[in-house]
Amino acid sequence: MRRFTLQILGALNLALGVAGAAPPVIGTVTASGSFRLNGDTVVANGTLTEAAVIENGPGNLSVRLSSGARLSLGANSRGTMYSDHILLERGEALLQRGFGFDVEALGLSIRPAGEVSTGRIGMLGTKGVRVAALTGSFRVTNARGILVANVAAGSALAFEPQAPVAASVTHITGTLTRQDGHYLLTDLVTHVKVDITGQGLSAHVGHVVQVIGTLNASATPAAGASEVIIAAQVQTVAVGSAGGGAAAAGTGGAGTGIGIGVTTVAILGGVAAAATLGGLAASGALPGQSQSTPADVPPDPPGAPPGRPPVTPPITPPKQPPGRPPVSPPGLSR
Amino acid sequence: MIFARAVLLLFLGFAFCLMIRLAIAEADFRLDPRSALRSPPWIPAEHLAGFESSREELLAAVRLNPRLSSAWIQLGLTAEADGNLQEAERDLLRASRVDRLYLPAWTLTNFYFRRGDAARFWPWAEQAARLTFDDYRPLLRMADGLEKSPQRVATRLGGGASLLRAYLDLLIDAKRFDSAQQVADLLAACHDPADHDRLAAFAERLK
Repeated sequence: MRRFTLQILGALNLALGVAGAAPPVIGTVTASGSFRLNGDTVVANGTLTEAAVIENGPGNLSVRLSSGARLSLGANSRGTMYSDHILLERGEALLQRGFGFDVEALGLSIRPAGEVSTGRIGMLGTKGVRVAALTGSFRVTNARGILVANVAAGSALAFEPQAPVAASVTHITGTLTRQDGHYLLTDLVTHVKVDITGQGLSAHVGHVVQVIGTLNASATPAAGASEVIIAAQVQTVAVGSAGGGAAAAGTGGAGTGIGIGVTTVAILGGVAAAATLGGLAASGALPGQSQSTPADVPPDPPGAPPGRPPVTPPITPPKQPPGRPPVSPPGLSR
Repeated sequence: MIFARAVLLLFLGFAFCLMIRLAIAEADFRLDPRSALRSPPWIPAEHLAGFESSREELLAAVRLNPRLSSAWIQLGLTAEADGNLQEAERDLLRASRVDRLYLPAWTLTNFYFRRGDAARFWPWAEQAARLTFDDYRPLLRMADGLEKSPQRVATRLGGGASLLRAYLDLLIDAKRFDSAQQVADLLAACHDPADHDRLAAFAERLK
């Protein structure tokens, strides 16, 4: 009876192509020592198949994918590799030549915006992700595909997905402009342009404003904008436009070029984003960085030791206007 | 007698000078590897062929020491990533000629697996299995992906008891009990009392 059962199982396995079916090869992985591949100990190099789980110890791992993308995983990293993306669970990844290749972490999808984009994506504990664009820029989208940030070359942002209940809460800051009957705002931190709707917006045109509102996923945004935000509260924080504000975001950035204390935190698409202190200079060290770091990367401050750990401020909600109840969504770190 | 002493002194003097020169070269290399490349005779080649070395550094390393298998392996993997498969195979085979240990065999096993070249895969897989000292599972996963018959996989990899144990565990973990049964039969044929508990546990699981 048992033998009969086994024969049936065997026939089923063969019919389904399960027995001995090797998953498709997607690339190679090399390391200075041993590492874990699908839970097994592998020495020096190995073959990556679809959905392979790779994990390394104190050394670095170099991944070469058949698509041409190259990935370096920092010490103590862990992720699941697919032909077109990696699910990063722990540690840090340096992505090179990764156009069309995503790094996914905590439900965020980080994608190079161009072929020259090189960036470092790292986990910040269990709740946050840091994205540093070394060359080219990166687009960060949430699990629903909503654009939550454009990380420009030479800048670094930290992200923290919020609890689902706060997913539509939006908190952005930038210069409000009017174009073809639409009110547009490019957030200083995330560099995402949104279409703002609401009452009394015309009085704020041309000024730097903080907008607190909700995402209107069903509305179609104006050309060039990624989402429509229904403003519940608009507050002018500076008269005049934030000329140098965009550059400030991601490089430590509290300043905007007009001397105002613009927030370094934005909340868009259910994800809080903050400029990391020191921008790229705050990033750690991975092999290949020296070859790809652009000239405009801010230098380390004097006296800073080389390869120091990243300095990322806790993501804290921006100040609320007086007399208003706080709108910070649950789950935000303080 | 005097002549012999003179020769000995000369030899010791030369050895001392060489030691000093090597120490200087080593220090130069540690301070600035690229400029140290300008005096290659004094650089230990293996220092040039580290993890993530550039192709130029690897080529310099194998020029200095053609028996440096790790550099040939890195060159082969780089060539493969660049799509130069013939060059990759040549470099990896070169590594296997100068180094009969595990790593070149393992790398060639992987290379032919990625190419889907079963004919060339098996000899290297067998050699890698013979030289494996800890974890057979990554090798078994590849072999199992190319050959549907577990008995043939086990036989082609040499069929040692430790390999069979690892294979049995792998198949049980994958809940492929029919295949595991075949490997268990092979393991039972080894008549090793150490396998009694493992086989008994498997038999219990099948009930």
